[in-house]
Amino acid sequence: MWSYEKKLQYPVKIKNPNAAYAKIIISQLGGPDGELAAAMRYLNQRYTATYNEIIGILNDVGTEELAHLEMIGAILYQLTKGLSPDEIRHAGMDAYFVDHTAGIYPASAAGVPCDMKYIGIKGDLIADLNEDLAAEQKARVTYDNILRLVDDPDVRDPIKYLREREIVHYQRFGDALRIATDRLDEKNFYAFNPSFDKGCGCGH
Amino acid sequence: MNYQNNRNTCSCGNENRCSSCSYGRTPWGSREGCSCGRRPWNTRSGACNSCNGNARSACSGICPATASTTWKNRGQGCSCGTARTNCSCESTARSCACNEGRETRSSCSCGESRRDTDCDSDCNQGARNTGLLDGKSLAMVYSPYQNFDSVYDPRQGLCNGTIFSGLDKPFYGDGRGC
Amino acid sequence: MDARSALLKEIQAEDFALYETALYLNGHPTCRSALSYYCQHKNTVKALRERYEELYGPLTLYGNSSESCWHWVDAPWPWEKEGN
Repeated sequence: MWSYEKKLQYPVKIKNPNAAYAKIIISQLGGPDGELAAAMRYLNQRYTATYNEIIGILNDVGTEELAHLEMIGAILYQLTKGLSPDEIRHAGMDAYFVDHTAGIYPASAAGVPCDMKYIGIKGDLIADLNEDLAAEQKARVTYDNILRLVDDPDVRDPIKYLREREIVHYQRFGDALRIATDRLDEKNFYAFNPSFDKGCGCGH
Repeated sequence: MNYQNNRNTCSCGNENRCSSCSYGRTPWGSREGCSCGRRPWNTRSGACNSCNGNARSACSGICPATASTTWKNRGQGCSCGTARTNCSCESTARSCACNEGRETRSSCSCGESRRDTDCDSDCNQGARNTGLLDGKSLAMVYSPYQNFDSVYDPRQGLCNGTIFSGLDKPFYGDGRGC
Repeated sequence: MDARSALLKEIQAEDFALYETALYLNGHPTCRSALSYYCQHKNTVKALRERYEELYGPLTLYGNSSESCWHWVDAPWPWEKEGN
């Protein structure tokens, strides 16, 4: 079950609204490599994962992604608060505005609503952990791209924080994969799927 | 001491091959360093950090659940035979005895880049391992275990996005200066 | 920065250090250095949170201590500038 803490994991305090920034940062809310997709990926992989340490990592990284989702929501909310329709139109956010006003709707910068097709849950321990390693790298790259496009230090600050978290999560999934390979038979890691099969039944 | 002639005193833990042994290693009986999975450990003090999650007796580095003491089956923790000086996250004072003699050796040591003429006959010609990957099987990627050290204070950690200096990797690609 | 923001930031820092350590411990559950770091910072966090809740209201749903007032839904909210 989840508890809610009435604070952000890292503070977000943006003095100057900017719809153009909101238009691109929204990809980390509802885009293919965004925080919502990440949270859904890890929290759903938990159920069929094996080895308690790995389940713990999926559980707690997944939970942290929800906290990051909230931070992105806070960034978008503060970037669009108090804007006039003119400012919204000049920033190119009018297409979004007509459907959502200044509501925070999980979609990508290109306007595609968040989709479960973005996530991989294969139900195989090794495949799922490799999916997670890739996901963290793609998220990190998305944050790199945001930093290339954004100048405001109030915005860059929480974005840099979120980017660094992806790198740390990459290491944590690396730990998880290492634990898996240390526990499995190194003569053949693929003899069976620890998330499904009861064993190999062929002497391994 | 030439380990090739005295295999049963080889310090690698591998009873069949000593390809990763380096000259200058002390035989097992007199070694003091901690190394998970190796034997004999009867004279050691302190325990290795972890042994595949199984309980380990205080004075022995033998992992009870693991029959083999070869490197391939060892759990997380120190791996003698690599260039590391810290063995596991609980003790930074302990050093692997395996590093002795490495810096001055002239013959090939797994973990160093090799040239064909320098390798002895047991080394894999042209093969490159970092020591950490010695004996690891193909068709898999391996992440090194992280030690719990070099930790920032919480305020600095929050600011950087991590408390671990080893994971602190800022972005400079936007050309805004280092 | 006002006193509330300052105290909140201290809690965020200590909570963060705990979360980082917990994530590390998930993969290294027998690491004594990490466990002792965790225990030490857990105590620091407890004291800071108690002080914050006394002065500024609950941080969790279970933290409302007034018997006459439900402060859990008081503004500001975490996503507002004033809530940081």
